[in-house]
Amino acid sequence: MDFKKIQIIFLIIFVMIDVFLFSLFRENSHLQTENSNQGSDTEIIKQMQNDQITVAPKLSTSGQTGYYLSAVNDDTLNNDVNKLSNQKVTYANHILRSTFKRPIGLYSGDYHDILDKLMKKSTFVSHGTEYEYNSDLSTKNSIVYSQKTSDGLLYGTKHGQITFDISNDHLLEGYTQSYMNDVSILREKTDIISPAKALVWLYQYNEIPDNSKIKWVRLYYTQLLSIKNNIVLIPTWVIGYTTSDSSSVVSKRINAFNGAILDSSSSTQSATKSN
Amino acid sequence: MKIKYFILPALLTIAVVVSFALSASILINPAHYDRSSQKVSTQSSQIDAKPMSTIYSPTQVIRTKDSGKQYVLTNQSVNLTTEIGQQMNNYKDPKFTEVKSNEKNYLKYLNTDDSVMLNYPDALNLKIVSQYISKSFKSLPNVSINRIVIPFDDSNDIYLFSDHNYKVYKIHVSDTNVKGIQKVIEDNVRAIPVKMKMINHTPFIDFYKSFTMPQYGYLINRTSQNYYVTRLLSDSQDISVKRHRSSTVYNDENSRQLSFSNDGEVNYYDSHPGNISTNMTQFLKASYQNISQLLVSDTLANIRFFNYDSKNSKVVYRNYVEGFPIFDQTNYGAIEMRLVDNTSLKYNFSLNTLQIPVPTGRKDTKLITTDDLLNSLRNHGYNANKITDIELAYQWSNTKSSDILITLQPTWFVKYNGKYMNYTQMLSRGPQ
Repeated sequence: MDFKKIQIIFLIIFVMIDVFLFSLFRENSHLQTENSNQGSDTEIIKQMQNDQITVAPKLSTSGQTGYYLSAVNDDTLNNDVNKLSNQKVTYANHILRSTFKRPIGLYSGDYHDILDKLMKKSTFVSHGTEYEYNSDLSTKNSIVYSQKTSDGLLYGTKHGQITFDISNDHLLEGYTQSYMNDVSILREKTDIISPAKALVWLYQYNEIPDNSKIKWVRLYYTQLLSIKNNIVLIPTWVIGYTTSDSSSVVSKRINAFNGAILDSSSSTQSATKSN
Repeated sequence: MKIKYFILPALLTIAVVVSFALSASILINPAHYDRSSQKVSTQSSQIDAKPMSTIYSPTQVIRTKDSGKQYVLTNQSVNLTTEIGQQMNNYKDPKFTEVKSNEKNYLKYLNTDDSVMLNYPDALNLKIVSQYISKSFKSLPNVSINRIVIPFDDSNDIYLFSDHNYKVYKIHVSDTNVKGIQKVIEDNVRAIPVKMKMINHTPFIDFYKSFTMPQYGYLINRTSQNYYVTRLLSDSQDISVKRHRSSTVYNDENSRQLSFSNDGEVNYYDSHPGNISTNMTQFLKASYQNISQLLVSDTLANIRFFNYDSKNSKVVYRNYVEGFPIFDQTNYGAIEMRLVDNTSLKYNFSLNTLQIPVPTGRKDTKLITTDDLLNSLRNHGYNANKITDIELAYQWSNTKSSDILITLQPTWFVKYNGKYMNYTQMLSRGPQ
C-alpha cells in the first residue's frame, strides 16, 4: 500500500511539472513566432503608435528593384497644341494650362471613368493614353492623372502629370499638364529599399508629426536633378499623410536607392551645381 | 482488479515521458530562437550591403550558338551575370569530376556549341565562386577557375575552366535550369560578335567586327575625409593630424596611418591589423568584409573583383559599368588592398566615387577590331609578345565644364609590360 501512495504522490508532482513545463513551452513558442515574423522595421512601425501615428496601409518589408531613368523636358506639348479643340491654351515653363471654352459636364458616374474615355482622344489632351488615373492624389475638385513609364508612374506637377479642375456643379473647366518626353532606362536595375524601411526612416528623420495618419506609401519616379533639359528620375517612396490640424494630404519623398529624404530645394541645388 | 493495478504506473510513466519531452523541446527551442533572431538582426543591419556574390561575380557573358558563332552579350536594363546567377542558385547535389584536357583541346571545351560562358576577370577559388553559383558548391574541391560554361542540353552538367593550367572540371547537378538561363539572355540583349582564340597560350576574345558602344556620364561624389577617419580610426583616442602642402595625414597610437592627398587619393596603412591569412580564399573573404565596411553602399554597387596577385597578396577591385571595367580613375583601380610582408595591411582608394548616372546625349563610340588594334600597336613598334591582356573598358575622363561631372568613354585597354594603358595613348606616345 505504501508503494501505491508513493506512486500517487509522484504522479501528482509530475502532472504539476508537466503543467508548468507546458505553460513555459507555450510562452517560448509564442516568443519564437513573434520574432521570426518581425523585422525591426515592423517593430518600429508598431512603436509609431505611441506617437499617435497611425499607419493605414500594410507595408512590405522586402526589398524591390528600380532604375535610374532619363527623360527630356522639351516643348512637345506646345507643338501639339493645334490638335486640341474647344480649348484656350497658355504654355510657359514646359507646363500647359488649358481652359475649356465650353466646360464639359461630368454627370454620369465617376469622374475618372468619364475622363478615362475622354483621355483617349487627341483633341482632348495630347499623349492622353500615356497617363493613368491616380486616386491617391485626386480630390473632390481636382482629378489627377500621372504619366506612365515602363517601370511605374511619374510624380510631381511639373513632371508628367495632368490635373483636371472640376467645379462643385460637376463641370470640367480646364486642366494643367506637364509631359516628360523620351523616358528611357539610364542604368541597369538596382535594389531599392522596402516601403516599410522608407517610412521608418522618414519617421526617424522626425519628419512625421505626432497625431498623423499615414494614408499611402507608393513608389513613383521623381526628378533627382536636371542638366539643361535632361532630367534624371529615380525611384522614390512617396509617403502621404494627414495631420490632426488639417485634412489635406502632405507628401514626403524618400530616395528609394539610399533612403535619403528628398525635398524640392535639395534637388534644385544639385541641378544648379551640375550645370 | 488487475487492470486497476496497472493504471497508476501507466499514468505515472506517461507523466514522466511528457515532462521529458517538454523539457527537451524547451531546451532545444531557445537555441533555435536565439539563432534565428541573430540572423534577422544581421540581415537588417546589412540590408544595404552588397552580398559577396555580387562583388565576386563574373563580369562577362558570351553566348555560343548552335552554329558555333559567338557573341558577347550586354543588357542596359538588367545586370546579366546577377540574373544568371540567380537562376543557378538552386543547383543541388553537385558531383565533381576532372575532364582530361590540355592546351590543345581546352578551347574546344570552351567553345561548346549552344552554351553560355561566364567569364571572371581573374582566377577565383571555387569556395568564393560558390557564393555566386550555389552554396551547395562549397563542399567541392577548392580549385581556382576563370570561366563557367553552361551547355544548353539536358545533360545537367556545367563546366569550370582554369586558364592557368588548362584544367576542365565537370560538375553534374540535379538540374541546370537551362530554360531559366535562356530566358534571361534572350530578353533585350545587345550582341557583339566575337571569337574565342588562343594567343600567347592564353584564351583571348577576338572582336573581329568593328562595333559601337554607348558612352556614359556620371556625377561623382567626393566623400569627406571625416567619413573615413571615423570609419578607420574611430577606436583610437589619440589621433594626430599633420597637414602638408599636398596631403593631410592622420596617425594614431596603434601605428595606423591614413593619408589624403589633395587629388582625392587615400592611403591607409595598418601595421597591426590582427590575423589576416595569406590563403587566397580567406584573404578575399577578409577583403570583402573590409571594403563592405569601408565604403558607402551606393559606391559598392558598381564594384567588382578585378585581379588577385598571390605573390604580393594583393587584390584589386574596379568600378564596372554595364559589365565593363573602368580604367584610369586612379592608377590602380577603385580599391587596392594589400598585405605588406604578410603583417601590415595597406589600402589605396579614392575619395571620388561614382554617384548618379546622367544622360550624356552623345553618340555611341565606334571601336576598332582587336586585329586592327594589334596591327597598329605593332606598327608603332610595340612588341606583341609583351601584350598579356586586352580589355574592352571605359576610360574615366573629367569634363571641362564641371568638376563633379565625368564621362566614361569605351575604348581598348592593353596590358603591356604588366600595366594597363589606353591604346590611343600608347599609339601617340610610342613604346618607351
